Amino acid sequence: MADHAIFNLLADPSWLGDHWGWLVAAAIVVLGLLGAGLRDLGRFSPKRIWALSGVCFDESIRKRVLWIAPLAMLGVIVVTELQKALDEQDALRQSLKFCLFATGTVAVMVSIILAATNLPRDIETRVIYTIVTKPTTRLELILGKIVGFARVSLALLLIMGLFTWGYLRVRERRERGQIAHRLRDGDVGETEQARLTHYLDTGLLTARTLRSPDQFQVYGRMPDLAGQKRVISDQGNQDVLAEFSGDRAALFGEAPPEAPADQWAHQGIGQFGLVIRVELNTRRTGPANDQPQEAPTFGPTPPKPKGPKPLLPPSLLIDVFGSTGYQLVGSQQMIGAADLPTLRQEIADFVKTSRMPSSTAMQVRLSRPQPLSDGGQGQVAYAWVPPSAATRLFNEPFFYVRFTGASDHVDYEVGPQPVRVFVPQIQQNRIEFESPGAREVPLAAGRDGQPLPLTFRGRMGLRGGQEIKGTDSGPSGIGVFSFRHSPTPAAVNGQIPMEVNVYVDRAGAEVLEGHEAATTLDVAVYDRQSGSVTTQSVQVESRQIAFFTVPAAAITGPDYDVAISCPTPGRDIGLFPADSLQVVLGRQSFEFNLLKSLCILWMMSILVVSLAVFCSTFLSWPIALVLTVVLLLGRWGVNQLADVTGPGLGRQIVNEFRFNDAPVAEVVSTSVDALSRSMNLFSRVLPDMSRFEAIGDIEQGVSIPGEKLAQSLGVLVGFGLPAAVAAYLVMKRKEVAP
Amino acid sequence: MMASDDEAVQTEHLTKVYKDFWGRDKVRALDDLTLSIHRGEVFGLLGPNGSGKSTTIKLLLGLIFPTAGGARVLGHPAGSTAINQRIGFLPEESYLYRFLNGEETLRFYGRLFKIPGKELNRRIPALLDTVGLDAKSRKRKLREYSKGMARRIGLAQALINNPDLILLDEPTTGLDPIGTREMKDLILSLKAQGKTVLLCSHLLGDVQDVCDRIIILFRGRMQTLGQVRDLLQVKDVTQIQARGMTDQQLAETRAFLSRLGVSDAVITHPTTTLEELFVRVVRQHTVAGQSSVGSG
Repeated sequence: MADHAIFNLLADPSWLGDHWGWLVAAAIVVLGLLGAGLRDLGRFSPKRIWALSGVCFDESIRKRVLWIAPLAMLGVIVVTELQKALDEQDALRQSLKFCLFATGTVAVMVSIILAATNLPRDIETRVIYTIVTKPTTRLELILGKIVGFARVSLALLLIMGLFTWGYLRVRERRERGQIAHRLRDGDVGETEQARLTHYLDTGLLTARTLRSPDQFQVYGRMPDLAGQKRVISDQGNQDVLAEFSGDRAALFGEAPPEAPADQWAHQGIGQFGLVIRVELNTRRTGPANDQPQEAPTFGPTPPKPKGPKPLLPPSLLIDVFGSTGYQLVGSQQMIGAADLPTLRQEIADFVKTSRMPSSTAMQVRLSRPQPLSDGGQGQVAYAWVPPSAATRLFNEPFFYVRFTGASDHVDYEVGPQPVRVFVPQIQQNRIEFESPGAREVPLAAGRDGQPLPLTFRGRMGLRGGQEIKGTDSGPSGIGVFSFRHSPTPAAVNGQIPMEVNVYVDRAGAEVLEGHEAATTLDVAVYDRQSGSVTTQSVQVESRQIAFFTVPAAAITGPDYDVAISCPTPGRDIGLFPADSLQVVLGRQSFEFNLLKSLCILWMMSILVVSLAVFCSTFLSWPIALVLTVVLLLGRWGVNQLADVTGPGLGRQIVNEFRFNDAPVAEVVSTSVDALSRSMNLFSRVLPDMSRFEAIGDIEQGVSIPGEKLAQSLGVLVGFGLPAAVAAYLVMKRKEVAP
Repeated sequence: MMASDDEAVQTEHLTKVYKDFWGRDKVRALDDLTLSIHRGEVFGLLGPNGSGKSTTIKLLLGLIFPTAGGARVLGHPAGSTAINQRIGFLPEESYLYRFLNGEETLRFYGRLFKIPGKELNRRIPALLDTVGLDAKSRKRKLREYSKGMARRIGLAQALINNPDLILLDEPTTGLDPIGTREMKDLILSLKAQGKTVLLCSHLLGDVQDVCDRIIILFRGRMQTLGQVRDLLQVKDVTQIQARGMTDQQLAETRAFLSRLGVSDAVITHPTTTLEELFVRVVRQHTVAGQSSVGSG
């Protein structure tokens, strides 16, 4: 581990910058304990710590701190009884969320108040005289306080946890009774019946271990997954993203490291622009509605040529996106052409007139089929990004080129590398990008050094999902969820359980249960190991999990794909990459999951106690209380301001407030930027409380993974231990007698 | 600083200056104190309010740190955690957890000394008996204690570890005369056990009764240090005491002194102290079945 760290440090000095928070924490602990506290460490006695913690615990209990628990429980019962739930399981999950939220809130609030006020009060009442004049080290004193209040929060968590368990079990029993009653009466639709039966079979609180897909792609037609060709459909229903490296030297060329941005930006694509070349094949599937209209003629009608007029090829839409997902260069800002001579002419005209021609990349018509460099046949289209627009890539670590099928009734068949990007050169007044002087921009590479695969996306729906459609002529769009190196799911009665959760739209309005005909999804499981395909139909309701199973033989290896399409006409199905299709790897008891959740909350409470005790060593209790809250919420707060505190804030403020005096503007701009940088830097040394995520999974009925417990423990150790040692160092030098 | 095995406490040029927020000198609480307290003696630290008595004790216990000079306690630097194992401390008021009862208090402090449970079970009742807390009051929370009871439990916690050096800051404050007498008896009994007692008080009578040596501090500086009997002796006055003299014998004694040339001799009956009288009366009633301890 140490070798690994040293290697990282030598190989990449930025490693130091990325991990400096951890290094500071380690330095505090090591130097604090081994440097200043070696003697106290030698006298360290767990018995004394336990005795000190016992007093803190007794004090809290005798002050009736635990009375908060029944009050919180009463609040939870009132709120949960008033809630409106989607169904029986949702009712229980909402109740569970309220219970755990109340548990966490009570535990944290009590921990902060007790821990921040205790030490200052001991000093104020001078009880500390009789403690530090015993053979108690200041280290034991601090740890005794922390352990004491950790015991208090544990007691609270156990009481609240026990209540949560009991209350939810009682409610589950009630809900299951109602479900059984409804099923007996036959008062449910077909889709709902499957769900309710599943609830009865597996219970409403049982946790599942879910496997989310590693990749999600949306194609126009069901592809041959063993091959490399993919199809996107027309009318902008799908698009393709190719990710390219934003390496500055590759895009702009070499420049001295100290050269200002302006000097870089006048080279490479800042001088000659950027050329994008797309190659693919198209196939008409219906009437060609994308042909140019004939202009009205005056006078005698010229004779029509004999025979059918050859159709022009279909069109594409090309644009460029930045690393944050924002569009950097719109298609109307590029010059598009189907061949190089036309492109050169258009560029020459643009250079002369500085006006964009009508042939932008908004609708670039593809060339007719022609031989390609790989020996096959294909159609190509070019787009040129002018230098003024290309310089927007200056600070992008990577960027995407997106193309979308713009014509109607066309299948666009895409190969493995349909997009290439070039930095052109001007030779003899001609723009060249396949000559030796020009260079090709490499595709962005993954961790394995291999180019990243293309991303095929569905049209983004209003509710945030990628949509596929069910049409009268069959499904339009197939969502393919790919699982790689996945653990083998545990079959129950020879069946592997899966879950699908989508939203269903019709003409922009959500289809709610019971009001319309059921929506059906076709699910096909492709087993990469055996090559078998298993199909299944599943009825779904909008935003309701649909439970279904496939035979255990459908998945024999770690790699498999699940394709989803919608045969129900008139429905738009919204899919989400991470959680619309999940495989159930196993089930776990609610009790065990609840215990894990309480463990995370307890670790959070211990961190809160450590920070509060640290603050109380040098501040009066009200200020210690406030500082503790700031330390706990600081990182979250700065994260909320992330965009506001980003680079360029100073310049933005200067522009906003119209500082016309250049020196003043410079001072304001640099000061604001420095403040913003300091704030970001400060937030990085604060604990990331979002790592103590104890409610989300259990609320969704998902087994809390061990990694989350490890993450919580990591934050607790990384921040709690240095806080405790820092508190000890302050106390060691503190005169406790006023 | 030279350390001697015979000395329980040694200070050399011990100085404490309290600073204000800006680091400027605010109060010179103790100024250049050099003294030695021998093992096995009862040493009195006297002085008016603000003279530096409590500051000295706080410095010896490490509750505050010296500005200059140094101190050693039982051969170790003052404030050393290790030496606290052999020290008992009764602060000027009983600064104890008020939500604990008497027994719990002693058990808590006993556990800080890592005294085994069985030993604590034996030692706690014995100590509570020693300081005069009855069975009923042992189970009451400290917040319900009278001031005298609080002093007694405070003293018990100071003795829980059977210390070699006991620092008592105003030990008789809040005690009734019986309690005061018991406290003084206890101090003398501790001395008899070979323990060193540092007594800090401004009740001069108490100090006079139990102390071997005293120091008088004023405005942070040492004014006087020495044996109590030496310091209190009036060297030019002689006192002769005799029991059962008749009026005739008194007249002859007076005439005899006159013949010797002693013109201003005072011959009178000595009086007992009010404390002696009070103790005698209350003890007579206690024997008759009434108690003054534990009732608050």
